[in-house]
Amino acid sequence: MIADQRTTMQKRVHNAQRMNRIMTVVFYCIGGFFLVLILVLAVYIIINGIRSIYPGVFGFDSDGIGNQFFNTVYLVFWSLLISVPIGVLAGIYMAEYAGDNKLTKFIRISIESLSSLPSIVVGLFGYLVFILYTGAKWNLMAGALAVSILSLPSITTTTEDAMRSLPKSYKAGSMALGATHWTTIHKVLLPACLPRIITGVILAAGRGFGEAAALLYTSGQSTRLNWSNWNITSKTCPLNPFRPGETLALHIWVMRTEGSLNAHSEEIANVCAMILVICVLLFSLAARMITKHVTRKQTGDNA
Amino acid sequence: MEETLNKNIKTEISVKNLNLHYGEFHALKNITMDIPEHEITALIGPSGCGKSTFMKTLNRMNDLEQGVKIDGTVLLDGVDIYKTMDAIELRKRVGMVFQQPNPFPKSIFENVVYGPRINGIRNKEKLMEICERSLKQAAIWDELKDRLNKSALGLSGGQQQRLCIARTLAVEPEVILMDEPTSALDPISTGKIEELAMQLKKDYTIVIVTHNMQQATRISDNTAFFLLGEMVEYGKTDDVFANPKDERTERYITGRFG
Amino acid sequence: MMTRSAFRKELGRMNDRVSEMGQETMLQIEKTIQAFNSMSVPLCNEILKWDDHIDQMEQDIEQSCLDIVLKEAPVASDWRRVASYMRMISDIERIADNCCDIAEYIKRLSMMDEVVIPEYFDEMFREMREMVADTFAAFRDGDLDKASRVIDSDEIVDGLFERIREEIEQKIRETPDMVSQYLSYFMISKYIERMADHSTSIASWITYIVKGDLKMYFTDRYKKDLAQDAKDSSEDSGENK
Repeated sequence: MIADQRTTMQKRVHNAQRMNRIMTVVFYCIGGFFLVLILVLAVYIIINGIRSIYPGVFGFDSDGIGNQFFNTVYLVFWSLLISVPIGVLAGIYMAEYAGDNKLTKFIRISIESLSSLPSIVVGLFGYLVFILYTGAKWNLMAGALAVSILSLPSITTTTEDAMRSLPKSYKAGSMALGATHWTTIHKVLLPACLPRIITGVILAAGRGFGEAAALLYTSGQSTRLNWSNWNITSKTCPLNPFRPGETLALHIWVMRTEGSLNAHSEEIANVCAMILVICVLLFSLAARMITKHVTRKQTGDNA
Repeated sequence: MEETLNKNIKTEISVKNLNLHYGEFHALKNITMDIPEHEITALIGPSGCGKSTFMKTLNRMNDLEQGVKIDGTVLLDGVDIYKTMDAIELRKRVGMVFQQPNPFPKSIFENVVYGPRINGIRNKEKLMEICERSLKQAAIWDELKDRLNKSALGLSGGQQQRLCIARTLAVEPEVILMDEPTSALDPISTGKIEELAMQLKKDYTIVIVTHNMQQATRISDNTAFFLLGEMVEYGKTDDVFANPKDERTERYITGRFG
Repeated sequence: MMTRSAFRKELGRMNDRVSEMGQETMLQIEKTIQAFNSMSVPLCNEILKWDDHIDQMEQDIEQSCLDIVLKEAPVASDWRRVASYMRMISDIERIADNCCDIAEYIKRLSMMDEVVIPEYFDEMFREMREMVADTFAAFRDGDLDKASRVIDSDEIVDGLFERIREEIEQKIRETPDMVSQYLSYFMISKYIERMADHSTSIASWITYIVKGDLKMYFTDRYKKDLAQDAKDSSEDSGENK
């Protein structure tokens, strides 16, 4: 009797172990698949880009992509300037002030919907409101605003999640010392969330860097900058946000459609792609490094 | 049941007919007691009896929760803390140490001077002075004086708790509330904190919630026994533990359930 | 589910053991009275031998009490009970000891010429025996009134001791060559008085168990000291007559 039970038991254990081994292999394969995927993508684009480099490709004239690069950076800067304060404050509101009622649920649904809007739709909205309604021509600021709309939900959600995941004892400890709610938020809770918020912001910036569809009909498909013109109201001044500002991602699209006019259109597109991929990777890296650094400072050298 | 222990001792906190409701639930039923100054008063009772809830009414931490309704009076040095005093002011005079040590994710120095900073003190020397004084009072200066800039989260549990006590002391309160301050700590850390409490009672009034009856007998002067939201008995610790007046108290402290 | 059930059982067992020790001691007292009336040497030897048994009981119960305090950290009535047991068994053991002391003197007397036994011995023995029996009854029943009456009865035994002392003084003056016998009788009466004393001590510990009031114990001692001081001073002034 006991011998039989033992063999059934053994069989069961053997089967379980075999399943375990199979699944382990499956998981490693999937992990490997992702690694291979990203490597292939990145390596292909970068090599292609390197091969397409020609003298003057990084120049700040119509033959080079310097202006587009600057526009991209400048646009992301403006969009962050708008979306980060609003997003962080909205996140704080949702985490600390909003009550558990229908209004809050509605706000939450709105934020989620906003984050899943297709970027071309946001771009068209931007075109309608920031271009047509205001009677303006294509300008960088309109693009920045459109990108803000896209990054706002993620920054808000990141901030709210970061604040909610903090131990409740921080707030209790601060309030018990006679701090007001706001003091507690900006002296204890926000600093404690900083790593996660910074990560969220950098990732949002990375996405904004590569945004194309939303900028089609907002920031324009061309750019003409005169680097010696520092009159901020002029249309060719680099620092004037109210001027057309084609970005890198858009430039790729332009080069590959109407760009047959340009002799180097293919090369330019490849180089833009390479720069974009490199920058996005750098952003991710920067996010991780900053997080590690801030976390280490907060939790002591043992962390 | 009201008990005044000794008419010659000054009362720090006076509670009269305190009732607290969490929505429909009647959590505290008609509590009346006087807490003498410069003594340690222990609150004992089974889980859920209301002792922690009661203690949180003394520094209005209950205000932070939803659906809480409070009736009755609580006087700190004669002033009604609900009707007359501001909650922020109150919490500077009545500090609290929690069951789980909860230092902020900042340096040790920043933790200790958090209170004084938000009270407007900016002078670096003054803050340093306050930090040293508070850490000395908490009997942890020697251990930490060489690593004030290191993160507080790197300390052991017992050290973190003493740091939290120092943080509370930095604000110079009159009353210190301790909610099971040693239940998460090992016996040695517990001993250090009990010793600390006995030292502090010379200058502060201390109210301590504890599950550990030996702790209550070791360090407290007065003991209040709570059961199902009522304060069943309150008196000098020696009397309550040697000769309790209420049958329920006797049963709880001798461990006679079932 | 009853919590701390092992502790409860142990406390119950100790209560029984203390009672048992009391019963053994009562038996010794009965034997002592019998030995006194019959001047029986074999009976005295029995009493002396059995005392070891009672000493052992005291040791065992004391060790158990110490163990319980160490392990269970008793509070409230549990604490009062254990603390009282420790003091009570000491008094019970002394009562049993006193029985032995009396037995020794009975043996001595049996070897000497007979004399007229002083009066009041029967009465004194009887009173003392009542007191001790009542004390153990009060312990068994938690009877405060009985315990209080025991404490009051001590006066009677003290009074009887005084009378016996006077009588023995008289007899020694009348028949000086019988002094050895009368000294023995004196010692016996002293021991009876001590036994009554110990029982009042036990009675006041019973009060502590039930009421948590130690005052009776100390007041009792204090009153005795006062009475003793008063007597000493009156004697001094009397002797200077």
